Amino acid sequence: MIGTKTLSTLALVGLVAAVARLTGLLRPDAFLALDGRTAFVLASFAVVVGTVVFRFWRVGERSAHYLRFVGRRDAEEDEVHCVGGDRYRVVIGENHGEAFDLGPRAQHVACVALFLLLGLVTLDRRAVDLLATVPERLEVDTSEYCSLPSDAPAAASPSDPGCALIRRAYALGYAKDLGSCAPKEREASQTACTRRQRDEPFLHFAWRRLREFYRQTRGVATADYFAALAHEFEARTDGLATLYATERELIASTPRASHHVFTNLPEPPDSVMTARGCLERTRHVGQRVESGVAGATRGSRIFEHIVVQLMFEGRYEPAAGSCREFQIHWGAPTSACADLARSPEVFLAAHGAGEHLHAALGRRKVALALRELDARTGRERGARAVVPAPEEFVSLSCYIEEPRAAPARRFWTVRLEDQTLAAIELRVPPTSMGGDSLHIDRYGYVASLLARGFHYGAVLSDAGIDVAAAGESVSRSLVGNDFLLTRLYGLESVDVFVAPDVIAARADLLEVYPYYVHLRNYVHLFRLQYEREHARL
Amino acid sequence: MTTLAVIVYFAVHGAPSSGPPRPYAADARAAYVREALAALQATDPTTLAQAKAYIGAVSQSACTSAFARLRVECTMSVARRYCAAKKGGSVCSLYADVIASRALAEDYFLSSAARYALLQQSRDPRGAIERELRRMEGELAVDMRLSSCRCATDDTRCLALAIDGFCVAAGDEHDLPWQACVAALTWFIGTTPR
Repeated sequence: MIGTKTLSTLALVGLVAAVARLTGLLRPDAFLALDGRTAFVLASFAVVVGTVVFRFWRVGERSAHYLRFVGRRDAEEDEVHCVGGDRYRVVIGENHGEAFDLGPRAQHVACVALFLLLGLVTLDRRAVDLLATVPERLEVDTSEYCSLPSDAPAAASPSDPGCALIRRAYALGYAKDLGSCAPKEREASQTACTRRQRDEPFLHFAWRRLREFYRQTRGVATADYFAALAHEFEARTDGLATLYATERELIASTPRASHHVFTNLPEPPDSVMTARGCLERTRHVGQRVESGVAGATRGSRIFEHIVVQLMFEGRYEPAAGSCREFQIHWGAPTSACADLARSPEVFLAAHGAGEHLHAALGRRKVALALRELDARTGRERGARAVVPAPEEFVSLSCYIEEPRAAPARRFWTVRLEDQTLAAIELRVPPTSMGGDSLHIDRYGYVASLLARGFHYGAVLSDAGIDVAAAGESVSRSLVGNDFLLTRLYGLESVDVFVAPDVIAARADLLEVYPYYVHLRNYVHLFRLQYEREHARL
Repeated sequence: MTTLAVIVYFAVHGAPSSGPPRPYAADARAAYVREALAALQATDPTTLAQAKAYIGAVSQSACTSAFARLRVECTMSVARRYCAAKKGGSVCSLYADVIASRALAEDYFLSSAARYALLQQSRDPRGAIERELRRMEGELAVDMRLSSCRCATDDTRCLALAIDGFCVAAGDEHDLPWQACVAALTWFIGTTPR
């Protein structure tokens, strides 16, 4: 036996809480996302409206009726059947205090909670912003009427040269007209005023507006217009799965590209190319490749440093891609590309690359479906209408260091899903273990691996074309024991990426060489080429 | 007997070193910075001010060239001639190097826009630029002090090592050449009254 007021309150609170939970509004992050103003408005709304309802609907008083579940038993004489059949029924009766009712304080709290939940469901930051602008939007337009044309012609400007004399002559009858000093007529308005005239009856004005509305509507609301609307609606209804998939990928941050480099180098212990934190850790790295690092992972660290410098370092210009879409797979076999070409799915799954790559390819399929849907509905999406080819946003490369005299490059064909991709394999001599090395050759290898058409030479260098002469001149100028500081300014005209021998011959210059001068140009040209060859979905 | 004497000599003194000289090796750099610091501290401020005014003015005017290397060579020649005329010897050569490097490094510390703003705002533009450079050098010195240097102010050996280490790192992390950084710090520390 429960009072109807209590039952109603609890049912409403439960219903609104369920809706709020289903829509995710009761998650902790949703509460954290509330700004101070919205939270204040919500709380005020709940307290004021909840209290008003509690007071004026007398929710705190005892219920006049109660509901009772009676099952097969007989109902009391003063009870009336409410709902149910012969076996299970609920009856309603007059409450004289025997039914369960929440206390007034509990009812008050329930009312406030109910409106707090309602507020959470219906009010967000945007709604609060809109509410704040209501008074401005409700302001009445004071220029409701057409303005009165001025009867008096505009007087000639008293500053017109010589007009005072002519006006005086005209007034005394010595001149027949004022000529150019005559008062200028105000130019007629270019457009007729369609607002209400000062002497226009309201009904006439209303009829005129209605007629104008009908005229405009008749011009637009043709049968073709409604047919087009219906066609677009049907097409978009058919494409609901595509639209849902598009939204799902946006929310899930599905990769827009998938680039994988398989290398036989071991994973360095403090690799920056990890899924978490790579954005922060690759934003700024030192200019100089760490040559003092020894041990088995020295080659790996140098390789990673160069990849980060070329692709993601943000010191000079925006990164060429997202590090989350670029994976280095350490410790791959030397036959990585051959294995990849032989059984791509197995190889990719074994190295943890399959899921990422298929997600990117899946995103392309959704993009193609969306483009098709747009074509059917006649919508234009500008740049989004262009869906890049798989080879533009998916790349597979193998970087193998092994004892050999010269680098060798080979392309492998990889069949993946219904796409044919080219995997590039680069076999290079091992990284020099000498501490005083510039590793300029590694820059060339890595750059050509990531952007296949990249080339850097004297013509592209900021140091000038005559590399040999500049190098010789600088070498001569750096001999001497005086003015050691001033002499070093000449080093800027030596580009180590073109003529590494000049610096390599002087190991003591490695620490004082201004790498940034030419590294900036090298990275800039690399990224230009990379962006020519690659794209993101 | 002679052969034995030669063998004994090389055994005691070691074999003559081969290969090119390495004046920019880490220990040689620190030693040079220490000498430069000592030269600045040993020279009276008036002499330094005269050298700075002369070398700085010529570097900014007669030595100006579209080719950076020509300007470097010209500034170095001017500084050498100045020291020869003053008969300053190696001490003059050391502080003149710091001054010449500082003059050439001005572009790294002051952008064209900042220099133009100073020219517009001040009646003594050269003085304003000098004050602004001094302020930036001071900031660099504070940065060095806070980041790595734990040296006493009169320990030039420690200071030289700290300056070199800080400037190698600064060159790697930022776009500031080692020589510009060293000249700025050496000048600031060497000319600040202790």
